[in-house]
Amino acid sequence: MFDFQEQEDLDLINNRKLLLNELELEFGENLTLGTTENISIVVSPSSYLEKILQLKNSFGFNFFLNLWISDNIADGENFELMVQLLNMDTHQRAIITCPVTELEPVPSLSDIYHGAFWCEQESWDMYGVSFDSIPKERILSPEGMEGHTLRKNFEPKPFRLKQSVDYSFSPDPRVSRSEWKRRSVHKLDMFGGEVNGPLRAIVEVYDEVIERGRLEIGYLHRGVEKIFENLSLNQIQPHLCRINTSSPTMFQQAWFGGIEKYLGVHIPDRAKALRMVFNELDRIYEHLDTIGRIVDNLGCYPFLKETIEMQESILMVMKKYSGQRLNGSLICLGGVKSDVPKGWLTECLNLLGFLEKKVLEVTKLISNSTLWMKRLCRFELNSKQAMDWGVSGPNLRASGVNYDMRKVSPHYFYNDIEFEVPLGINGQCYDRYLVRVEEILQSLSIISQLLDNLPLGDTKTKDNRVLIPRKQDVYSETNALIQHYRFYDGGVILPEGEFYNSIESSNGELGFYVHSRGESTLNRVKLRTPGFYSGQCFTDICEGGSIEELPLVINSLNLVVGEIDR
Amino acid sequence: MILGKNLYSKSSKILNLLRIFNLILPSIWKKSSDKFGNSEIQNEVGAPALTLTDTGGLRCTSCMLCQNICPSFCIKIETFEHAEEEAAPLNFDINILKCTFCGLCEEACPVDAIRMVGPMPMAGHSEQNWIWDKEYLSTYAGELRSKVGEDRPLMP
Repeated sequence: MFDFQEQEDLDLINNRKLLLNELELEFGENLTLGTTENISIVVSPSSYLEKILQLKNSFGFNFFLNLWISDNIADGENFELMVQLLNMDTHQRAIITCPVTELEPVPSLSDIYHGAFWCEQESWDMYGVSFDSIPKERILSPEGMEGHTLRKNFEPKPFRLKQSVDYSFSPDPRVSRSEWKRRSVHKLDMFGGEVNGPLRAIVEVYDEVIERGRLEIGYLHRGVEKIFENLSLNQIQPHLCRINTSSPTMFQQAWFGGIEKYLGVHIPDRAKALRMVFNELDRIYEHLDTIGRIVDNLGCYPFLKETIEMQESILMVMKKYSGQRLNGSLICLGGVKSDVPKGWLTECLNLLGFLEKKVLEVTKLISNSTLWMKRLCRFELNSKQAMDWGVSGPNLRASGVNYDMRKVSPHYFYNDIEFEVPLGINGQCYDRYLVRVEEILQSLSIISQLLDNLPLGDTKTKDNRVLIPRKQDVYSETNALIQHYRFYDGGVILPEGEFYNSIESSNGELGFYVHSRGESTLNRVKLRTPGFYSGQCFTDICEGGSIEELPLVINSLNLVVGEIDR
Repeated sequence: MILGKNLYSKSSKILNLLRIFNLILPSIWKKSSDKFGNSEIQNEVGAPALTLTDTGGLRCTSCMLCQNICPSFCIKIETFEHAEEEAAPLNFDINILKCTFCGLCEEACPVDAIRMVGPMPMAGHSEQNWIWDKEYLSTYAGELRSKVGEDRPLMP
């Protein structure tokens, strides 16, 4: 029998080879093939915009992933600008590096990739590198602050908060003067409960209909990237679960998976399977959270009670494992923290049955309800807009783009497991809701397949570099005690270099870029959080809505402020 | 394509109305589901507590591993002047307002001197009460033995 899957894989490999050959012809010695799936290209500042346009138009790098500044050259004034792009046909990622200074403004990418807008604003905020046509406004740190926080030579000074900030929109030439006078600008502050964290929406309203709008972020900015630069590798672990508290193990998976890949550490099969179970449980939890918030916004309180009950049941099972409801660090370097407790597997299987019954019961009632469809079949985001903004995950799939990292570049056992990728048609709030419901059911089937075939063996690696010995051995054996001290006192030190690792989190592509100088602390950490890009497409979606529908729009995109602001 | 389901088509309104009883009726006679909350949790994480040896002294040997690894810098240990004679710490303070209960100190301790099993108080009279010294931290040592899970008994 002809194997279609195999043929597809071969085609993919061939296509990737062709692309790399073409790139090598074009860029020559500026192109380096890294150890990871990333390739890196060095361009000069004069040809920066031209090369990026060439990559987009002739080489098919049509998806914008990230843009950040890195101070690899440590003299305080010269920086490296890094742009990360994705080719969606061959799943090839590329990092384009360009040397920049704070004196000369860099050409802006926001016309080519809309999603670069906030990134470029953040680059000015954090490093002082300015871009053409991007306003020099603070995006994450407070207005009125002096200095740029992420620079190595930054020293905090007391400052006075700038009170009068102009929120008005630029005048629209298409609008007549009389209409312009009747338009009014409103600032709407939303806090936890209504949406997932503090946010401010600024909207321009004409006859109670929103004409233009944008989001203002930065109210939950903790400087996670700066914290990561100052802590040792062991100390970073608890901070990871606290970036997005709805899906803590996703961040741990992206972080530890990247380090293990970089060091070349192989983890046992049982740990891989358990990590996948935790990730899928988190995905279910986060999607239930989203559905619960939408239900809350529409005022269907009985269903809110049901979703909270489902979330609580997941938390109780997680607590049984780690002793903590949300922030128990389940994943550690080289495996998972501990083996499955007695009776946990049965409880988890019970939970799956309970969740499936409950989810079907609730969604059957609300999905076809006329009220539900009337309120939710609005706020379209088409696939082109979504790709331009760099939206990923369920929000991208709701617009009809079939891109799931678990399918296209699978890690661990996602290759061997049967599941389907749900897609939406119209890209409306209703599609985003339905895609999430289907993903919950798919995740349930993934977990049940994993638990049925859970491999036996250890849960931690035996690699000497990252080995954490068992507590019982530490108390009695000298070798284990020495290893224990080596791990916790000296810490794990990454060799000089850089890596990028990403996974499909519940909101989209979640990635960590890490640059190390071979010291005990890291030189630069950059997070690619999915919410940062879905937050920008709010500008396109909110048109035509009314003010009381704004929380619904924000929650249908599932903007978690903790991970947007970092 | 939403996985072959007929979600976009309209169904009859009467049936939709009847379905509401599915939710309302069971909730009358069924108590809230306590299926997953009932069973006892052995390794529940609490506030940090210091453990004692059989003779009643502190197990802690002032090796400073927990102080160095704490990500929120809330542990402060002072040793005796002649540390080789007296291994136990002179002062062992934990600022519980800074503590995030991540449990790294428990993992890093090589002699099983600190455990995350203490009770979590919710209120105090003044800010001073939140800096716990070694006497306060070891008050729960007696209760500790009953709380420690079977999978990880105390160090012999």
